[in-house]
Amino acid sequence: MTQQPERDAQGFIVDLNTWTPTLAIEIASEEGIALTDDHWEVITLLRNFYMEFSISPAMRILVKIVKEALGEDKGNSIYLLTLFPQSPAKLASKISGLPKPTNCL
Amino acid sequence: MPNDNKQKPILIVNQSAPYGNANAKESLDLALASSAFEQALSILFTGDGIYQLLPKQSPDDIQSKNLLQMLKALPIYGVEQLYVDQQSLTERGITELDTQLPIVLVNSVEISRLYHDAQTVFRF
Amino acid sequence: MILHTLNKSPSNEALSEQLSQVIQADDQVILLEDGVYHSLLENNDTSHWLGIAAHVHALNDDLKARGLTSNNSAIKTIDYADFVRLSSECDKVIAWY
Repeated sequence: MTQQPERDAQGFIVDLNTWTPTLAIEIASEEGIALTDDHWEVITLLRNFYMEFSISPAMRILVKIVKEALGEDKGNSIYLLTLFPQSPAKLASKISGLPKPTNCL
Repeated sequence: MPNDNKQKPILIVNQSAPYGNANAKESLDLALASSAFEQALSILFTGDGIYQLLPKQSPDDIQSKNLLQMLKALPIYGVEQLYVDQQSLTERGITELDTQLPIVLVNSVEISRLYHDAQTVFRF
Repeated sequence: MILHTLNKSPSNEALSEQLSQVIQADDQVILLEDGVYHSLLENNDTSHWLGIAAHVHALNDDLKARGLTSNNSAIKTIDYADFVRLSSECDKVIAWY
């Protein structure tokens, strides 16, 4: 097994350039999540948003981004909670190799 | 004030250049966080704050996050207009601001109104 | 010959005034951090340091970070190695901040 890139105390990777899809699968499994196409849809949206704006969005904006890209069925907190239980914005950004959402209050 | 249902806005005033100190970043963090509470928010750039709006910022080599790139997310966070003090531009020899930002140039009368209309003013 | 470094924007007028009193034409000036915003200004006023100094430089990393390419031909873009070289060539360095 290859050496994992450096992670912080909460499991977020330190250098964003070290993220790979394989790493995403590993982080997800640590959290008890087996990644499906539905997860990858959200991961891709999050990573694109971060690449454009350098911001890891908190929940309200994550819902908005997903709603705009994938529609009402998926753009709601219940759907996102099913994919990424308890704290979707935090968990999804961790798996996506992004920083912890800063404006999580 | 139980009878006052209309939310009066927060005004954030940016008067600091982007990378020399942490003011610009802290201001942006407040703007993004306010949005989570659906607060009506106005943002004014004046004085050295307008340097935040110059195009083609590339701060990788000074180990900073690109604040211009982050400002571009404000419309998604519900801030549809960025007010910019026209006079501050002239004084600093600035002729071009980033074209992707929703910039509205304002004069001193309009700036005064922004301050008076706001319930709370934060200056950075 | 003195090397002056300036790391504050033009809105710090007191700083520019003090520098203007001290500077001589053959001195070197290096603009760094928010000092690089001076490169947006044209000033031929011989009572202002920008109009006095013949050798004004600006640090490339700080220009680039702030979206400034030195289109002011009077100001030369330099890197950290140039900064070190200029420091060693001058009798002393005064930091204006």
